[in-house]
This record gives sequence, C-alpha cells and structure tokens, in this order.
Amino acid sequence: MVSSAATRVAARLEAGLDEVLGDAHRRGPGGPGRSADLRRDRLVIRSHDLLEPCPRRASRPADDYEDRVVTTRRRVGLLVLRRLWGEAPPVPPRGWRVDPGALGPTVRAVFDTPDVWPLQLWEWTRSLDQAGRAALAAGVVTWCDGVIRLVGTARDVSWCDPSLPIRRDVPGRAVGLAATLDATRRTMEGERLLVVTGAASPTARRVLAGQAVLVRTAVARRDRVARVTLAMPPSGQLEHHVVDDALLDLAVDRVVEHAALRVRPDDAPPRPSRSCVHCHLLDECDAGSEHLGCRPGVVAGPAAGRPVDDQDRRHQGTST
Amino acid sequence: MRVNDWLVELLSSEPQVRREELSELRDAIDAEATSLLDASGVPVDDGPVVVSKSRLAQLDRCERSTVASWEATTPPEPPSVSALAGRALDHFVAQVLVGGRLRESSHDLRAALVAHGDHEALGRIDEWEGGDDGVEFDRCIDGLAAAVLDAWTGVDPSWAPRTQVPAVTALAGGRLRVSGVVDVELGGPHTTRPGVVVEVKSGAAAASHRHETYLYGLLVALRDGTAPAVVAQWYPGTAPAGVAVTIGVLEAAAERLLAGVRQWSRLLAGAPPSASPGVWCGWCRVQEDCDVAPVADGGKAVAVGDGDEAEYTPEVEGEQPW
Ligand code: SF4
Ligand code: SF4
Repeated sequence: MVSSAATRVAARLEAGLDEVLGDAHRRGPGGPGRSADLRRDRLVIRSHDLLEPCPRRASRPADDYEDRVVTTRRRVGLLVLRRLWGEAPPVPPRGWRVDPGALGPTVRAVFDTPDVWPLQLWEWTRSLDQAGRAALAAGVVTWCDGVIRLVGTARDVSWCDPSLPIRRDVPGRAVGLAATLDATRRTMEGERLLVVTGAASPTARRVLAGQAVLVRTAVARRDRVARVTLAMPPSGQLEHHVVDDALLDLAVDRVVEHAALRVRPDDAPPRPSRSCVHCHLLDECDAGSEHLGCRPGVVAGPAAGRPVDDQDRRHQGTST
Repeated sequence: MRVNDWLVELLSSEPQVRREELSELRDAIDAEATSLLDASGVPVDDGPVVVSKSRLAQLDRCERSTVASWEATTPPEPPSVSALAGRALDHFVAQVLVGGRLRESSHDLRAALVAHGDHEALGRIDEWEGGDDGVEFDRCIDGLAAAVLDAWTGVDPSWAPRTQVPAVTALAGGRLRVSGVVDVELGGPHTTRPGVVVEVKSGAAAASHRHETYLYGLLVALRDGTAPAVVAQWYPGTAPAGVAVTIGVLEAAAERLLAGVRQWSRLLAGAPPSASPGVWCGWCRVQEDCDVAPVADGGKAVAVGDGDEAEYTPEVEGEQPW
C-alpha cells in the first residue's frame, strides 16, 4: 500500500525534476529507449553527492573510486554481520547480545564463502595476498565491532545485502537515487532504517537520513518508514530521526538542487574552502587556487582528488 | 612478555571510574572548553575547532610548525624511514591479531599497503630499494615483525581485539571536536573482559607517550560512557606498560587536552605562534624560513601522528539500542 506521504513526496520530486531537468534524462517518448542508452544517460545521485558543499565540485563528481580497505570494509562488514545475526538462536534468550569475540572467526568464515560476495568485491579480495586480506579483515573487524557496540542487542535486524545496491530509478526518468542503508527492522509502527555513518555535521546526517527514506519509500513506493537511526561508532552514539514532511522535503529539495548542478555544470559556482586541496578540479579552478594562495595546478599533489570520506561509492551505484 | 599473559593478569581488573564521576568530568571539560572558545575569538562560522591527538603532539613540539602544517596547501614531505616503520608496526600488529601470523616482513608490509591503497608509502619503499635507506628500512621492519610475532601471537579471542579504532567526542555544543585513533582495543563494556587500550610505539620511550595514552583512555571513556580499566604503551621487545585508569588519570588527560584547546584556539584566532626548535626541525615545512631552527643535520623524523583520523560530531545521546 502506498501512503499519502509517499505519494505527496513522489509528486514533489517529479515536479522538482521537471523544473530543473526538463526533457533531459527522461525515459519513454523522447528519452532513451534501449537499455544501453539508458545506462549511458542515467544520472545517479548518491547520498554523499548531496553532502558536497562546493557546487562546482558537486556538479562534476570525481570518478576516482578505488577498492581499498577504507572503501570496502563496510560491504564486507555487512556480510559478516549477516552471518553473525544469522547464527543467532531463533528465539534468543533474555539479555542476548552478539558476541564480539566471534568476529575474528566469522570474518574468516566469510572469506571462505565466495557465493555470498558481490562478484567484483570478491575478485578484488582474491587479488590481495594473504597479508593484504589480513589487513582488510582487521579493518572489517574494527568496523563491525563499532556497530555491534551500538546495536549488538537488537535481535530482529535485517542487515542489507551488499550485492543489492540500495538504488531506485525515479519513475519516468533516467535518474537513479542511491542511498547508504545498512539495516532494516520491522516494527508495529512501520519500518526502521539504520545507517552507519561518520558524517560530521548535523545537517549532513539529516540529509543522509532523508535520502534513505526517500529511496525506500517515495521512489520505491514501499510501505511506511517510521524512523531512521544513524549509528556513529567513533562517537558511540545513535541519532534518531523521525520521518516527517520536513525530513522528506529536505531530501527531495537536495536531490533537485543536485540534479540542477549536474545538468548545468558550467553554471555551478565555486565555493572555496580548505578542502580545495583535495579537489580533483583544483588544477582548473581559479577560485580554489586563489583561496589556497597558489597558481592553478601547483598544489595538485598526491592528496588532490583523493576521496576524503568512507562512503562506499560502488555500493551506491557509481559503476553505472 | 606475551601480551596474552599480561592480559590474563588483568582479568580481574575492574573499571575504577564510576559513571557519575565520568559524567561530571565530561560536564566540566565541556564547560571549560566552551569558555575557552568564547574567550579565544575563533569565529563560530568557521566550523568546529578540531583537536586531534596528533595536533596536540605537534603543539607540544612547536606552535609555528603546527600552524604551518595546518595552513599547508601541498602534501607533506614523503615519510621517513622511522615514520614508515611506525606504520609498518601498526600493520604487523593488526595482521597478527586478526590473521594470526606474519610470513616475510617486507612482503607482508607491501601487501598491507596495497590493500590500504597507500601508494605514497609503496612509492617511498620503491625509491629506497637497493640503497642504504632500503637496507636500513628492511632491517628495522624485520626486527619489528619479530617482536610483534613474539608478543602479539595468541591473544585470546574473548578479548575481541580490534585495531585502529576511531574515538571522537564533540564538546562545546559541537564547536570543538576531539579525535584520536586507538592502536589496539581489547575487551570493554560490550564484551566479558575489562576494557584495555594499548598504544603501540615503534620509537624510544618518551614521557609524552604516557600522556597520549591517557588521552586515549579519556576519549574511549567519553565514547563508551565507561572508562577502560587499563591503558598501556607497548614498545617492541618490552612488556606492555599499563596504568590502571582512575579518575585522576582522566583528569590529567583532560587538563592536557584543555591546555591544547586553549593553545590551538588562540592560534586559530590569529595569535602569533612561537617557535621551539628541537630534533623535529629536521622535517619542518618552514625550516628554511625559520631563524631559530638549528642548522639541518640530516636528522631523522620520528612518527608523524595518526594520519587519517576520522572526525565526527556526535550530537544526540541515545541510550536505547536501535
Ligand atoms: S577547487 Fe575548491 S572551489 Fe574549486 S571546485 Fe574544487 S572545491 Fe570547489
Ligand atoms: S624550524 Fe623548528 S623552530 Fe622553526 S618552526 Fe620549524 S619546528 Fe619550529
């Protein structure tokens, strides 16, 4: 059943995209018909795209994804958590909690179970030597332990399958929305979502929460989401976001703003900051270079263009 | 001494800090941090003031150099032999704790660096290959690997060992973020073992290391709402040097932290930084422009800090599990 909130938000999204995209990225008559054209034409908007503070950089996201411990540990961690929770007794006793001491053996068991892995991730892992896999395993243990520390007593959790990206196409549009989502729970009042994040600012966290709900309900027309919880292992905190019109409208407005930047990148203004030093556009950006007090091109060293967060882009659909 | 034997001796350790004491300490730190930031003149719009463990260590050495690194728009100098040895030690400990063994130190280090996408370190090792630095580096990491195998093999899984664990606290209504990355955590409130924090050090023992370990104890306590029972430093070839965490230990850490916040916020507000020469001048970015720097003698850099300390701003307390 589609709730009225989902219908309202879907309409707001449709109207917003109509306004900024016009006929660009449209499916059906006038838009790409064949799936190859559709893939090429599809605009994928991921949660962390919405967090980019500089409009110019947001308009031309870097395509520098690289498999490494920090970009893959979350997906492998989800495989581990799925297994750990799957091994819990059907009716856990009172006071049950996941045993973090079981993490090491479970990570090893997951490394020996190729059929649960996303193919590309499995291939990368196999390309590592034994010590490289140990380095990945160590990163996974730390990630999982942080999650267990916060939600290790919640029993009826459904951890997301990293082989199935949380992405939905906006109806009628070659626009895909991808969200970071780690787990779901069914409760009497509706579905609850869990997002594990390191996002620093309260606004960024709200956007992440909103995008998760948007993808889960308004676009997919699924049943009601009651609450989104952001789990932040480094600070040991859980932050709950009630799903209301304000949260959904924020998410829709951010998506529409971002879509406008992506289709008209030349109009996107620069917003220089200290993070310009990491920007892949720095070589060609006068504002950024001026802010850093140097000529364009002279600061683009090894740090330039490096992803600065731990968002798992491939999982969110970058490979499209 | 094997770390596991040392841990067995700690089995009966109890947290010595009561939750109420910790909560009071947090409130006191928060109040003091707020008034320090208010008095400093740092504009609120500039975003939170970030004080990491490595920044505190830098400030201890030289203010001018700290400001220069913060303002820098170019990547730092490539890591020295000793800085990379510090990274190697962290990788070896992680590998033994999770993978159970080490085979050949330089091969295993390369494999770990590949997995981490640490191209800078890999490039540096390639540069050294066949030269004196390469020989020195290989000798150094062979010794580290042997010491790690000797000490860290066989830690009981019930301690749930984890490595490179971030701990972050937001204070003063989010205007201040304090962060660190703990080398090794064992046990803790979500396990059946007492909480133990270990800082792994590749260089010679120094008094400042003890303070760094206390700071980690404080950050973990603020993160978990429960203080660890013991904090320790471990140097290759020695037994872990542990200290029971008391409220006094945490207060000492808080005092040092607040001194660093005072110092850093004053500098951010535009106060002129002082220059304090020392062995660290050898790898300072502004050495050539510094009139108090000693003449460069090719001195070797020491560990340069935690690197990618993630920074977060917690806002809402959540007692209920999700
Ligand atoms: S260099 Fe700075 S201002 Fe320019 S696009 Fe990049 S982040 Fe924006
Ligand atoms: S050269 Fe030495 S004294 Fe001068 S700023 Fe650098 S570290 Fe400080």
